[in-house]
Amino acid sequence: MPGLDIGTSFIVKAEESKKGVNYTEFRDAFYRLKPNSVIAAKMMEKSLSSVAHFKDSDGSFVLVGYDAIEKAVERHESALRPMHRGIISKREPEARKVLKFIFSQLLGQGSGEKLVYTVPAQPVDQSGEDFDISFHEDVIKKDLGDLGWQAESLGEAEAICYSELENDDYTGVAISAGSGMQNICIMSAGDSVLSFSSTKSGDYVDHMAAQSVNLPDSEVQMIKENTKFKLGDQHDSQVITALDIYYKRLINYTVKQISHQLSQIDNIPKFSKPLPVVIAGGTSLVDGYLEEFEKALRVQELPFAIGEIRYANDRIHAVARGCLIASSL
Amino acid sequence: MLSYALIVFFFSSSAIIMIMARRTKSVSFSDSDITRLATSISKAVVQAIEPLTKRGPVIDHVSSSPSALDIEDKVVAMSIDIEGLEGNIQEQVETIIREDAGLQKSKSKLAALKGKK
Repeated sequence: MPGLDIGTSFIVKAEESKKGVNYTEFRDAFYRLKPNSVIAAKMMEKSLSSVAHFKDSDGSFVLVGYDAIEKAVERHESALRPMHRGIISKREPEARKVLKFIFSQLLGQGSGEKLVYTVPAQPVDQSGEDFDISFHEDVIKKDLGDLGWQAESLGEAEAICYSELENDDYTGVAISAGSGMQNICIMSAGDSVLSFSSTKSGDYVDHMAAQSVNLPDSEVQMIKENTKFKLGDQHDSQVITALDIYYKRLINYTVKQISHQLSQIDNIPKFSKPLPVVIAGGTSLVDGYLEEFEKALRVQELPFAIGEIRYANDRIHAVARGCLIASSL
Repeated sequence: MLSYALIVFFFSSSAIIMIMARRTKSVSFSDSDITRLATSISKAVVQAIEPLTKRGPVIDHVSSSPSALDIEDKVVAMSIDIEGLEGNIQEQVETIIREDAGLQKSKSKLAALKGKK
């Protein structure tokens, strides 16, 4: 009974094994190469022998995963994403096909076993018509069902609560800082009191930084992932300086959204203890994220006291682990 | 859109006829007549285009989502066939094994909590 974290940037499968938990990761990016002639197609096929790809029915080669990003960067372009801001991308007509192919490779054929997969919460900064979570949720359920899995959805931040709030009696705040979205869940004794998301996260940082230094998003993303830097430090690189600025803007935006959403709710439980806040997700991997987040959150007016603010034990895999735990219920 | 075009056409034609008539001195219109006509034209144009420019209030997310039945229909209609796709992504798949002594405890604690409700 695996758990599946379907993120904008990575798809992570969590499966229990005798040794512990096996996490299988795949980068959900793709890049299409269309050969001009039969000879070019043969040559291309040879050159791609060591690259993760599949051959589409129209004869084009679809590179998937990290290789897609590398190839796109090589050609001064950006790789395509089957997911955009946490849901199946409307911009890419082939998005669903690519995703389903990745699922088939990651999960294989199921035989009716339960599988818990993540869905984002409804965003507070998009209208319902523009951003349809329900359709995404049902499409994924159907595609996983076609592959033989009995799929059930779970909120992304809720999964972090299940994974990380055991010692807090499943009461606290979880924030999933993914690529496409920030998902937030406030949980009381295992029940979600409030879940919402905002559509600015890591991709927003990459995109805005790329715009400001006039580089493709994929290139900035690669620089970000391959350079060690800490938020708030002085940086020589223009790209890193731009990233630093937009990370801080993102953090401020997120905490203001949390404060605003909580101010709109009347029936927030009266928590007897300060609530712990757990942060997970790839966007939180940058050095100094927690410190900047804490600085910004502590000055907000909230209807409850905030206790310890901490990272999840495993920031990349916490969501998938939560799904795995939920799949056993 | 058609009604908007007709109203604009009607009032524009009237204005041109009145101005032309005034210029040829065949009919006498005062400045206040012209001002009144201009005001009427503006009001009519604003009324005509109002429905086109005004967006309704933001509906809450739940009620604006398509009904479950609509979604089901759409999803069924959009079956994706990947049978014919050749390829393998296994070389890009990275598997990490993490020891996790707390997993069973988490599972049972959450199951007990959910069972009480």
